[in-house]
Amino acid sequence: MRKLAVFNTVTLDGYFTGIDGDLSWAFSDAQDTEWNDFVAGNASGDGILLLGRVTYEMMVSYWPTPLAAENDPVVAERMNTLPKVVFSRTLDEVLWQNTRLVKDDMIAEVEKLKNESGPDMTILGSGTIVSQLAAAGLIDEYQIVVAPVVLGRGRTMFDGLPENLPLKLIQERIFSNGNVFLSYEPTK
Amino acid sequence: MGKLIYAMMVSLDGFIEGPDGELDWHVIDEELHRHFNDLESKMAVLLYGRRLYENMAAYWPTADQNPSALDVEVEYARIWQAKPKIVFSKTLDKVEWNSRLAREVVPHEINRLKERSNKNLGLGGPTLAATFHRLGLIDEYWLYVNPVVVGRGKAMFLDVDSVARLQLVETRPFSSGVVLLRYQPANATL
Repeated sequence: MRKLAVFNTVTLDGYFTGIDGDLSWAFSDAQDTEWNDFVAGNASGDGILLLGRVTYEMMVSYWPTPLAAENDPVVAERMNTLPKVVFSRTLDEVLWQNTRLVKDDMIAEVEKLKNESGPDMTILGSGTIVSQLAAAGLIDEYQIVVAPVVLGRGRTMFDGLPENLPLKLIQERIFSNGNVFLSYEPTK
Repeated sequence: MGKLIYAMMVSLDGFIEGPDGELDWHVIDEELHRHFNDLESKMAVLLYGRRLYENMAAYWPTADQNPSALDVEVEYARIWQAKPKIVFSKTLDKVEWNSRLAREVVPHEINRLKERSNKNLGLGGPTLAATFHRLGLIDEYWLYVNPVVVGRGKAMFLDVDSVARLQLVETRPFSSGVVLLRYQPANATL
């Protein structure tokens, strides 16, 4: 059985996107070598990415482009080659390299994927699928980067979770750019 | 000069209360309770919004008489009762327990309060905190991030619509799994 993690950056007031999907707050000019290594380390190795439609559309408009190849060559190469699964009822096809579309019954598909052998899986972004999979108890690790930003309003990745989800802190790491990495497991 | 500190327990998804005011998700053990006792006992004054004052005043005046109260709770009840408090409310007629009423937030009065004090000032309540945040009156933000997701509820800042970048100055994990993230305002805005 393989592990399913979620990895997301949130503001210190808990939002993973602004109301209109704005993510500009997530990028800082502060240079931090340790942080850059951390990001590159996450992008290395095997893995499968699980994405909702909105996150897929945002990523496919950037990572396969020459701009990404120039700005973030290492991460772009990994993002393009890693296997990806996109969950969407409305999309008819996905055009990104090494990407598979799942239109129905996300929960059953994720259960099936977890029971297969192979590399671990990570959800990026994708608030709607995070809350559904969290509620179904299918997420094994919550990896959250808290950015030193107050957004005031926005969307949380857990919106609509029907009941409280108690977690256990397993890792805490701080970076000089002000980001804090917190990692949790469900307690049950 | 005292610093004005907005300290609050928050869920991992950024809420200070559940949708119906629930606080039952707080992960507070003796270590963390003692930390709060220590923090508040060293404050010059506590600045409260109306609802927070009413919640606190409904519980802490008698909490030390409850025979099943823990030592840390008895101690906190006495700290709270004696601590000077300013309650910001347009509707309340009177407040008790070493509290006085203020009708609105007047920045130069808050700044004078800070200047005259060699101890820190505590701030509580999301509406009041948003007002202080907008006016640039908060010197430190202390978030106690609880290891729990609540899904929905009351945000830690109500009615804030401008983006602000803060500076992380300290983190401290507690044995309960709560992590303190301490921030100061950064000069740069986005």
